[in-house]
Amino acid sequence: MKKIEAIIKPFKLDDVKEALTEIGVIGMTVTEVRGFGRQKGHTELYRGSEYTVDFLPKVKIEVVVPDHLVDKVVTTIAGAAKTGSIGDGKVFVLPMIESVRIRTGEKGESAV
Amino acid sequence: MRNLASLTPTPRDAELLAPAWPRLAAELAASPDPDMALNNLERYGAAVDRSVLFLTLAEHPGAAALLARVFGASQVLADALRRRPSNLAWLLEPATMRVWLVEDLAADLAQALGPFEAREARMNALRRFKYRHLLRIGARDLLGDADLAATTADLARLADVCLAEALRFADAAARAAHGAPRDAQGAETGLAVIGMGKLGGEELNYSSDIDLMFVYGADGETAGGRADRVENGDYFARVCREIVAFLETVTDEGYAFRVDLRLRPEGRSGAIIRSLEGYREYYAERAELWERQALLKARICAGDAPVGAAFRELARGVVYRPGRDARIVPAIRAMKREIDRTLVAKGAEATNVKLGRGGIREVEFLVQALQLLYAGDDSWLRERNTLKAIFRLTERGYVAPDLGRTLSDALTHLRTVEHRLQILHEFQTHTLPSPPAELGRLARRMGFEGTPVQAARRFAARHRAVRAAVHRAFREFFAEGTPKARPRVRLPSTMALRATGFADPERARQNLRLILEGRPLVPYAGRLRAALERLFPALLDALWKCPDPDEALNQFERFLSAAGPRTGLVALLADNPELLAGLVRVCAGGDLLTQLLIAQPELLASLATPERLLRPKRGPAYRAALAEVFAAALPPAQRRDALRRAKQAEELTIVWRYLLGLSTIDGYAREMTALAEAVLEAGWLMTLEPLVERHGAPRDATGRFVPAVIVGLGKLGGRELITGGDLDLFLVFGEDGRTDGADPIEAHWFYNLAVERLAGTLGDITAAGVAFPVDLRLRPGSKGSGFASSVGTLERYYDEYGDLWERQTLTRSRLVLGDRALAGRVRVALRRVVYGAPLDRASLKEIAEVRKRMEVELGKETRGRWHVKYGRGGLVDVEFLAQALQLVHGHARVEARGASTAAALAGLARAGALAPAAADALVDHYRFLRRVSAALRLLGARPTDTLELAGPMPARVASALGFPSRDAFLDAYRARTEAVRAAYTEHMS
Repeated sequence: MKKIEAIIKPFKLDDVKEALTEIGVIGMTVTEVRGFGRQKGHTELYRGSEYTVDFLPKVKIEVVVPDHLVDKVVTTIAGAAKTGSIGDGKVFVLPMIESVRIRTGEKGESAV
Repeated sequence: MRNLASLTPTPRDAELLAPAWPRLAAELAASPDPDMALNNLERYGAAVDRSVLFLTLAEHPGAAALLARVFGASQVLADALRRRPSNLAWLLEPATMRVWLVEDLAADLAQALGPFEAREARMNALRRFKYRHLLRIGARDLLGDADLAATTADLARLADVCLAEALRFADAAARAAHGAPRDAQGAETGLAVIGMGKLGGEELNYSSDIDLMFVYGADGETAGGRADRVENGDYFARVCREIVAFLETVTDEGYAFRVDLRLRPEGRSGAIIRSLEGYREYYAERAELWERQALLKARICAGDAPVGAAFRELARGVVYRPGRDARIVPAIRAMKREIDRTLVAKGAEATNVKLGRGGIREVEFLVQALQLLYAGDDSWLRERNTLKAIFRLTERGYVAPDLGRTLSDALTHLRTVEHRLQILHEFQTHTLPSPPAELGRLARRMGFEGTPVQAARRFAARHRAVRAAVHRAFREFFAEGTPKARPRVRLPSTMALRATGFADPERARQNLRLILEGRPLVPYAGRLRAALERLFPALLDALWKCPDPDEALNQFERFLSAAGPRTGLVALLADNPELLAGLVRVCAGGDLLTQLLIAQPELLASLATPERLLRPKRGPAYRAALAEVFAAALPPAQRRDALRRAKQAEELTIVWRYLLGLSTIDGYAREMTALAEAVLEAGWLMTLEPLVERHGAPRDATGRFVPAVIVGLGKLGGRELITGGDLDLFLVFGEDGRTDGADPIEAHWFYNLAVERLAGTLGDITAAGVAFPVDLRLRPGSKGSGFASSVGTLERYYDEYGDLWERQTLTRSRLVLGDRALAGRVRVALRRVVYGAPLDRASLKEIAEVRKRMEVELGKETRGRWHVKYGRGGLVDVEFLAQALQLVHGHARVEARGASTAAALAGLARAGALAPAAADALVDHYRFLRRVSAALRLLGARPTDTLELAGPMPARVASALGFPSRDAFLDAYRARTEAVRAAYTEHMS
């Protein structure tokens, strides 16, 4: 069991969500976040006015999946979130020690 | 207040919103409907993480304006954004808010569909893509970044790429089942999607249905696949049904486009698709007027290119027929009467913007009637977009200039109303709201200022005036005329006309009748008739003396009809036989010149004073002539028009002088270049004024003004400009800095904006035409980079990235405008780039390669079509030869650095790089080719610089250049281009 965290461009959320649903991933947690990577702290011009970009709006998706699905999920997210330009985001895979379904007390994969 | 409270349910929210509030409050108040805007903002806030939203509002300079404008003007866009709130971040990316070309949209769509294979998932992704771009287009429209024409064209492009995708998907599925469709010979055949109506005209509304027809190449059978073979007709019918379903089906994500197929042959009861042959048979037998009218707008939007091209050819024959069809006007009149009857029954003739009295349909019918009447003979009128068609009809004199302006303004106003009605909800409504408050909100969405009541009043007054003007024009055109009084002058018989040199006496007689009786739009008054009767014998006399009476008469008739019922003008010509003779001669020699006169017939009077024509003007005189553009406190749009008219007036004199032999080709080019520089200077001032007012002047860190210069390239740089040429230029400014006004911006952005707007100030097509098209593609920097660079960036660019061809274009560079000290620096920098090191002779091969590609790809010469510019031995041969040798020898020999081709050749001879006799010969050939090119332009040959051997052009160019016969001219052309090519080959290898 692994946890997969992806930071993506917000407007790609629906594409990613639907692509994950297509391969059978049903649950996920979504958070609006702000952050920066390599594009940190530069200035941009928007319709003629200049502003400093410190943090960019991003969306964080978290899903927990059994080990055999990890590769497929990562490729699916990366494929659906890609625009080819800077700021497309990252995917992280984390080890998962335990999970508990609160309502029933089930543990392990069946709790996911 | 309640909304405001629910926008910030917790004290923490209120705290976060506080820094953004002043700007947000101001934007909300300025939005068309502040209540609606706040309401939508609150609902949007409930759908997202409020803290992120408030931070965005506080930090991003465009967020408040975008949300307030969209939320206060369009419920459908507000809902779309609330459904997909994460699109906001995309809309706030700098790269999003621009015009997207078809290729950009197609690439974005491909990416959006990439992860999905299943039909439903692809349909959903397509719909998300569509709504995302609808938000972008709507936001740009509502923020005033895109005008009506840009917005409607953007919407049409969006539909085009969705259509192409639907077709691809549908075809792949059908192919897997039945195999590829093949014609009787076994070759694959395809399908083309034809956009009609607003989609065809690239003027789509937010909630337009898309009108489509489908065509396939040929009958036959498919190759067979998983399932059986089927007839091509069945195969393609299946594909079409799937295309429609793919776009229309309402999924969780809504629908993509509603499709209307009723314009196809036999309407609802007709087959969904026909073969090319099927259309040919149908139209041959039964093309009705409304179908021809609809086909005026047909455009191939997607699918198989050869099939599309064949359909276009077929449609052209159906729509455009030679001669004038007398049934058209009564038939369209009857159609409109039918519409009126239904509207009156509904009581909507005053409130329906589209179909009502003085509405959009009346403008469209008028334009279409004129196109059906005249575009058979005059192919320039074959334009799908209504606004552009009005412009072309005016340009060609079928509509008087005042009326053309009225109609285009009216259409823009009416379409904007329609647009602003429809953007609220996605309904296809065309009816003005009656409650005053709602009308006021509509007016504010249109950009009328003040309280809703004031805005409504201003809007109503404007709207009334527009409708009245449109309806008046419509009524006058379609009025059932009282039979015209018979003219007292007798038309010469066709036999007499043939005897006096007319090759097509029938057409000549028709033209003469039109001159005497007027076109449908311009009935003649009694006094005018009397003047015409006086003019008539003098005109016949002048025509008989001129080398090409047929063409002269064609053009003269166009000019006179465009001038409208101006008694004064006709009287002037009747009393001034010399002026009349000059005009007739000019009419025979130049389509373009007649066009200039058509735009401003009053200029003719100024040509009646010969002193004005004898001496050439120089720069200061042109600047003085343009000064009047600035004299009165004109609003910017009128000032632009005034600049265009002043330029055309001066150009008219320049061309008139050339055509009457008062100046040589070199004089003509020198005068045009001087005029261009004066216009450039005037346009630059006009561009800077509003920018400085808003942003202040650019200054460096020490407070010193940051100057800029404009570098001319190509024909402008070489002082070789003639009629119809572009201005190639780029801008260089001093150092980095910021402007010192109320809304400060970076100096580079200031000049970037300035040069981009300069291109529009001079190059946009307005009711008065264009001043000069501006071409910025030769600027230093890659295609996507800004339009202005500093001296430092300029040098860096050429050092690091500059290609040989760029260095070559710089041989024609010349500082045409701007700060002297900076000009000195730029000149030094450019000189170093071009002549800093001699070009090794091996690199000549690279230049020769480019030349060869131009000859093949742009020249495209065949046995029957020559290209004066790109063809073998054409102008570019001489130019490339001169430029290449300049790069080789200019480093060591200063005299070889001339910026014009003739000066360069002479300099190269002095430097010993060319034999003097060879240089002289090249200069002479070059002059000859430029005269041919000028004649082709003035005679209106399209595409420019192309000589069709089969048509009338060779004979007309021969007579313009003073050759005794067509063949003598062609022989000279052949001999000279051979000689040029021989010299080129000798020196380039």
